[in-house]
Amino acid sequence: MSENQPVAENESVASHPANVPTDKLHKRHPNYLLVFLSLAVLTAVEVGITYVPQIPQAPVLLALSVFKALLVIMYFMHLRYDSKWFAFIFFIPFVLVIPMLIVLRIG
Amino acid sequence: MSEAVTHIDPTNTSTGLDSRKLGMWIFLVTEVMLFSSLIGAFLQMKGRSPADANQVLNVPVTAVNTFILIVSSTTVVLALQAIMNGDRRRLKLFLAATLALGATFLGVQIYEYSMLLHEGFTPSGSLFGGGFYTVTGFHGFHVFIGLLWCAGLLVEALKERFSPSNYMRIEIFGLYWHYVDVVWIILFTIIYLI
Amino acid sequence: MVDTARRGFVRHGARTWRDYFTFNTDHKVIGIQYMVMAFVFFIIGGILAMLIRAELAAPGMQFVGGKAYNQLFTIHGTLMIFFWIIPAFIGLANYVVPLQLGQEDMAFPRLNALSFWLVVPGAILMLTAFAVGGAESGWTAYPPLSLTTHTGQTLWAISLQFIGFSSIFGGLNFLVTIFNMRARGMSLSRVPLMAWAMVATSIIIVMGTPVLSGALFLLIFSRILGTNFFSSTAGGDPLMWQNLFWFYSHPAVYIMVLPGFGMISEVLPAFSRKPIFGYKLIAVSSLAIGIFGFLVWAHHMFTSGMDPLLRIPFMITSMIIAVPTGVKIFSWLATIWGGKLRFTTSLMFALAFISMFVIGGLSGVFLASVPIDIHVQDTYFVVAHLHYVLFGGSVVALYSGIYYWFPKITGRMLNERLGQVHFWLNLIGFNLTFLPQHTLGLDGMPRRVADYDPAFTGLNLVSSIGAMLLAFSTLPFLINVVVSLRRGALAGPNPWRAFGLEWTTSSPPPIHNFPTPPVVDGDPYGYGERPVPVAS
Repeated sequence: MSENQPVAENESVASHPANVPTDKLHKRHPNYLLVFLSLAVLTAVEVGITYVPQIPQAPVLLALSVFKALLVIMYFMHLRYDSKWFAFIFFIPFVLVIPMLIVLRIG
Repeated sequence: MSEAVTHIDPTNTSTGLDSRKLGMWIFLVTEVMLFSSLIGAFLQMKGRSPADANQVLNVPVTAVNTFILIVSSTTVVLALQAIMNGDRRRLKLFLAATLALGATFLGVQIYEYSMLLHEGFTPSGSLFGGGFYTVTGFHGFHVFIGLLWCAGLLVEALKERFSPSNYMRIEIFGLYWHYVDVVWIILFTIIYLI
Repeated sequence: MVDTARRGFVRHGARTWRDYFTFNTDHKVIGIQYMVMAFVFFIIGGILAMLIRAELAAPGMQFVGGKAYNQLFTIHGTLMIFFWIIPAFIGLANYVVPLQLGQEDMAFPRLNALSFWLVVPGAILMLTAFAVGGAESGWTAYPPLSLTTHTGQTLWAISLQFIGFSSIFGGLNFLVTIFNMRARGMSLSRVPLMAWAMVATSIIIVMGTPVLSGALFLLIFSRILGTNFFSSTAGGDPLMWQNLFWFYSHPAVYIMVLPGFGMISEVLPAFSRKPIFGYKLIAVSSLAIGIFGFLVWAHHMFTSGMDPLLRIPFMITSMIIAVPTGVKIFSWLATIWGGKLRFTTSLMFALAFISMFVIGGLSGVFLASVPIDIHVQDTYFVVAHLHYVLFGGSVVALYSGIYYWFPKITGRMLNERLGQVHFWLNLIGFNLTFLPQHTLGLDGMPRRVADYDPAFTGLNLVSSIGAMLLAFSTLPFLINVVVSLRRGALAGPNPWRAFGLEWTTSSPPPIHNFPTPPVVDGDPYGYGERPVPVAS
């Protein structure tokens, strides 16, 4: 699972103690201010929607808040640019959360 | 008698992933499960309450508070970017800003709590009340822990402990702080808006 | 050679018995701390079981009143689950896994020490809960009863929070250690099955325990802040407790058995002199149990009044979950098939594990079926099932592991003759106690009752006699441990001529485990294929 260093099969990276940071954080920074602006605007939009009852509140607001959450996760938490293992680890619990919420609701 | 208690190097790993960072992501998994159970309970309580149960809440003030927390998330990631580029001054500035903004958020929350309690909206008075105070209270507690952590990091930053080759603890704190922000983004919507 | 080190109040390594009472970052010390503490609670929980069986030996109320009896089975269950079997497995795994990975410690040694020391306030609170009374709603603490009992219930809940945090940090530590810290040459397909078992266990711990914590907070707030989450009179939902509780507590039973599976996978090849059969099958099926185990929880609620339609998907998932374990059973049988068996006590316990766990698993499949469960829910059939899997399964597997690794940990061999006595008394006592309970349950005897219809007398008496024998069987084990520590034969690095990196260092290992970091060049079960590795 090492990112930069080709290792022979069955060799672990521990045999290459170069201590080079292997994540790409060093190289790529998104425009954090742009992300912030999006978040601010979307928050205002959300509040605005509550004043427009014609729009179906729950689905739209939920979708917007999930989108905002993803902006923070992907960009501020750098998941978009880091090892895909971090993303895998973080999103696995959501698979379990869905049955939990469903059963709580129906049960 | 050796000084070192034991020497485990978190950067020299079989996967190439920093152990501390991996540990924090796994910790965030536990936080996702914790908040999911509390949010599930809140939604149950909300479902058994009248549709206007959240009218008692102050949306405009909380919307501004949400904005404040989002700004603090921005300042913490800018702090990380700063130290990765060697800008120690900006690191301290942005850490201090994060601390101040986070403290403001918490202050406003506490003020809101006191207003609501004064109006008779209590944890035991209604199902919605119980759910509200529980889930926002847990969030507030996580903010509080984050503030203590941030203060500690700020002190270390003032002692010039961080550098472009030593910033992982800032990054890890950032992950925690962003997660707290993500939870609030969801909570704000499902508690106050819907 | 330095065998302890200090920085402030943090110690590493042990030279005298006093070091075992310190905040110690050495995984070997922590492992022993866990195991000894857990065994103390095994004894306490066992005494409670004896009191239960004493009361049930004859119909009528002889020794305790109803309320006291409720506390007996509540604390028995709670102690056995949270203070015996889980910490005992965590302890042995803590000792063994870093060695198997060729490492000098876990990824986060201080967090490891914290995990152990969090159990201590938990234990104090739990014993206090018992002392002040009120923890009497079973280890499952269903409201409304758990909302109305005395202070002991709140202390019980807070105690479990400490245990929960301890567990979560431990699971986190194992995951990072096993993925990030492996000897050179140890790819994931060369990781010992004990470590894979801990990966699966830790995944469950990390995803399940926080939900229990959430549920416990809701219970605590309802008791001390007056929130109404579970009070039907106030519009709340008692079933919500059951859903949140079982969401954790079902996967928890896999926490209580997966480490045992790992130990069996280590013991069988060593004493059959054959490689493990189906390494990938066993590793993958463990992970499958880890994830899939989260999708069966409501089979504990078939008669709770939950939506009847929901019972069907849970019945299906509860039957499917038997498959990965079945895969393991067949793999283990294939491992010993044609092997040159060496009937050490460790192997005997491993073989007993297979048969007892299959019996427990079969009664589990019965319980998964809704039409059957409706009749036997909350009867002794369930009590029989759970003890076959948790005692006949988990505890027996743990004994197998203890007999296997005791020489590594202490440098001494356990006495085999005493081991055989322990084994046979244990096997006979256990089956005498719990086999009749299947019939009792099918005949309709409810569980958690202090008294029963005289028609159930005969089998209850048999069960109580079996329990006495089972309790007595612990004595030869304890004597064996105490005597062997001083006078057991010296073990040397590899008394079993086993594969596995832990056997390539001295017994017990030096403070930093390996004089030079080991290198792996083959799979962990090369019996009959390669010479046994020698200590460097």
